[in-house]
Amino acid sequence: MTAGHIAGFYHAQFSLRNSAGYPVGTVADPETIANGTTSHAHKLVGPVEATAFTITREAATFRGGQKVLGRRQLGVSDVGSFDITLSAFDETFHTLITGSSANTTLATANSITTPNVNEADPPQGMLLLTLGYQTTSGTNKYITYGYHNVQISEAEAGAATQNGGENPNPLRYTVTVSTAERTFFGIEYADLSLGATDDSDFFLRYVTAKPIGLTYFKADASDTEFILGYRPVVNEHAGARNVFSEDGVSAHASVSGVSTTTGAVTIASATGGEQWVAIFETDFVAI
Amino acid sequence: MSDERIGQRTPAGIQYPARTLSGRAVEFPPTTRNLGSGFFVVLDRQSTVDVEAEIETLRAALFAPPVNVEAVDIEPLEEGELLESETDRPSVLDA
Repeated sequence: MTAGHIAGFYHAQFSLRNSAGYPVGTVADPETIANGTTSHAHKLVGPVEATAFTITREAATFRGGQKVLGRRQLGVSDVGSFDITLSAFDETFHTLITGSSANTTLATANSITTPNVNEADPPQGMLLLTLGYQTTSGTNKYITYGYHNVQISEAEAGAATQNGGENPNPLRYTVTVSTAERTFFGIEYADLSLGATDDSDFFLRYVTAKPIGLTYFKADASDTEFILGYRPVVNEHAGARNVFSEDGVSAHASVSGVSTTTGAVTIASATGGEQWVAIFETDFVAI
Repeated sequence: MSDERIGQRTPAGIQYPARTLSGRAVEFPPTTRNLGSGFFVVLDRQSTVDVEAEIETLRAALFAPPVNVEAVDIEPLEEGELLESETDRPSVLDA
């Protein structure tokens, strides 16, 4: 275990989530994914800041005889939404979170999007926020806050200003967080020995040497490999730095190779429909 | 690759197609669907084609059985010998 100081906001990624709680990347329909499909979390353009996830706790005060006799915590009464700010309008992210479509056929050289304000139940997904982390011994690392179950909506839209300076027209989004039993690793809290009450929680923190990427793969029968979204920085697959799960179970024993150039992950011959999740360290170099 | 919507994985690396299944430019990292034998296509989030039908068509084209050409023994002609068809022609000397 380490202790460290947190500074810098480097990356934000969004993945859709299916009803079984797996991160499924950016597929068209999280509930109907054909075998042989590989998808990846979408890396947001220009993350600027995220406000804190606030937790409101109820407490009771025992008071009598003109003095406080005691206090007892009564658990969480509410958790607040938080905001993320982006410097850029990211059409892919926008369509993912709103469940709307970008029209590029009416004018094929241009694109049309809608805020979809009237959508009362936007798609559920996972949000990974990667910050800088420096250990007390001075080693620079990263810490990712992984929210396993979020819905995201535009907090404000359409602002315009004549001002210059830094990010004169940032985009702000509200993140509504819910609990989940399955983490962004594809593995349930119950199997992670984290000691989470009721084997569920709102998010977790993951400290790594490099930022992380997320790839989802639903196997065809007899498949023996899948391709990561970016080049992993290490070819390690024994459970030290790259994490692989298959149908919710840690699956390092079924991985026999990871290529740092082609992104290929070699796996034992798959059964059709196996759901793989890879959380790998990467510098986001394209394959 | 003759169809610019088909990519291929080989031990040497991955060759992404230029176009998605619907014919759009590919954005990275793309969502892909295996066709078999290392071939794959890039899926659109909003497809303008019937995905399953299109994939079946591509698979059929990729993995169509080869046309069988039966070998026929042809004996080489001796020097001065004419093809059978040529012997049927009237010779100019006959005229």
